[in-house]
Amino acid sequence: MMADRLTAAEIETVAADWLAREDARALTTAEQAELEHWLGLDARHHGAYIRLRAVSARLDLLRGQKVQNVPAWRRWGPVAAAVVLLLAAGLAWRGQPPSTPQVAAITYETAKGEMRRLTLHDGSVVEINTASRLRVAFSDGARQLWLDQGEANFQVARDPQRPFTVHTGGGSVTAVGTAFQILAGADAARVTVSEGTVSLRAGTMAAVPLTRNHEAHMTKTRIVTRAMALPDMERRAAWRDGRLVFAGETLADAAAEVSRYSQQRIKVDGAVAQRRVGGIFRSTDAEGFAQAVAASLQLQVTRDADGTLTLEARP
Amino acid sequence: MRTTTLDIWFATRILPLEPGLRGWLARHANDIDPDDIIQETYARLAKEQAGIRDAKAYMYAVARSIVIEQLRQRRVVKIVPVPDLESLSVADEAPTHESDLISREDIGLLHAALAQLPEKCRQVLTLRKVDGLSQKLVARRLGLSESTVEKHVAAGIKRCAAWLAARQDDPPARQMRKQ
Repeated sequence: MMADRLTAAEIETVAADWLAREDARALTTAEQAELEHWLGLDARHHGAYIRLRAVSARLDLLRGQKVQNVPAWRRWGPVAAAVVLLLAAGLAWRGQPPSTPQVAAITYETAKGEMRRLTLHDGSVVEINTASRLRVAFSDGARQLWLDQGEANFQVARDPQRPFTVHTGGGSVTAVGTAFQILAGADAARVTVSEGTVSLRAGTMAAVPLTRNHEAHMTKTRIVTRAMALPDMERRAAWRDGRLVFAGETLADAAAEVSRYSQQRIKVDGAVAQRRVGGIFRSTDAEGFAQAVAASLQLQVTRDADGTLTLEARP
Repeated sequence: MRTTTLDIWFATRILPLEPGLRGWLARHANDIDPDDIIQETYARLAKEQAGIRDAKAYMYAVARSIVIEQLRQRRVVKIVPVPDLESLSVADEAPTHESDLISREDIGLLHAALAQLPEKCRQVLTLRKVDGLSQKLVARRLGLSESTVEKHVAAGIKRCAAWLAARQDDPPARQMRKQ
């Protein structure tokens, strides 16, 4: 991979070879040095390499996006009877669990920025997002889970004899051979169904069914439903690939979302909090998010003594 | 290979602008190899990324200065007609301040980029990018050697880059970005 003065096409071929090799495995120290050397020989080498990396990163957007618009959460096929996504907005559990676990619950916790994937005894697979706490208690007659805090994704193994119920402060969700997600606060929950039907229970109300591509906001006294667009549903699942996808959220909301994943605090000045942002970010890269937003909205980033980043209008 | 913030910045902010820049180069500097200019432009953008406020205006300004440098160098060795440098103004290219939105159109565009690849290459890239399998697993799945898979990845990324670069900035995508 040596070069005198190469044509643009030749440069691109060399850059692509390096990229593919890095994509296959970690480079050896010698290879790394050779790459660095080559990149330094001519600005065009570096430019071609950067560009192909960007193309590769752009193609990564297709992750889980099967042709014919099959959404990511359907790729689990027959294994998954149900997918549940729960988000408790970092608030502690305050609701009364409808039943005390008959068997000792196992507790799973994640730190900020950490993600865990585990397989439960019944074959269900749980992906736990940042700063979350999940308790699991399975008995012969029921599969009970409590999401005390945070967010989780459940691919539920089908077992009609043992309903799979996730309890949150806003109410509970029971899988009926289906796929759905929940966003739950201390006393409210938002449930989104991606396939089939789920059964919602809140307060003393009768069970409410919720069908595919619909979302419900539920509290102990009220359940309100609406239809959901596909891109919104896809965005909800992005964290499982370590990504955060924004498409027109306010800066305040986006920064709050990023803060869930990082110790790095991001403050947004009131004057710019309602600006809208879009883009894809690594969920654990709060600094990168702040810099990218500042660059695109022409804001300035300042760092406090405690490391907090503040986004505000340029003077 | 770890995707960096810089990669994502280029993927979301710069790559979508490339077809427009190529059109601009074709109109204003048609006797210069656009690929040379594009490569140099990316290299300079990478160096300056942290300080760039308006990616589009900056990208055009950088490309323009590289074109001018090349024309100046060239005049020394051979005489070529020099385009009216004033016509390289970027005034007609409205800067986009908002981030590019990731839309269903983008996903459709990327699927189309994969779809135009030769059969084996498309299979490899689909398993690697859509299914997220490692190259090693792709090789096993398709019964290919790992080095063959690596070659398909290299060729596929290159072809997708060319395909995306030639893709006109269609009106729906442009509207999305200006919202």
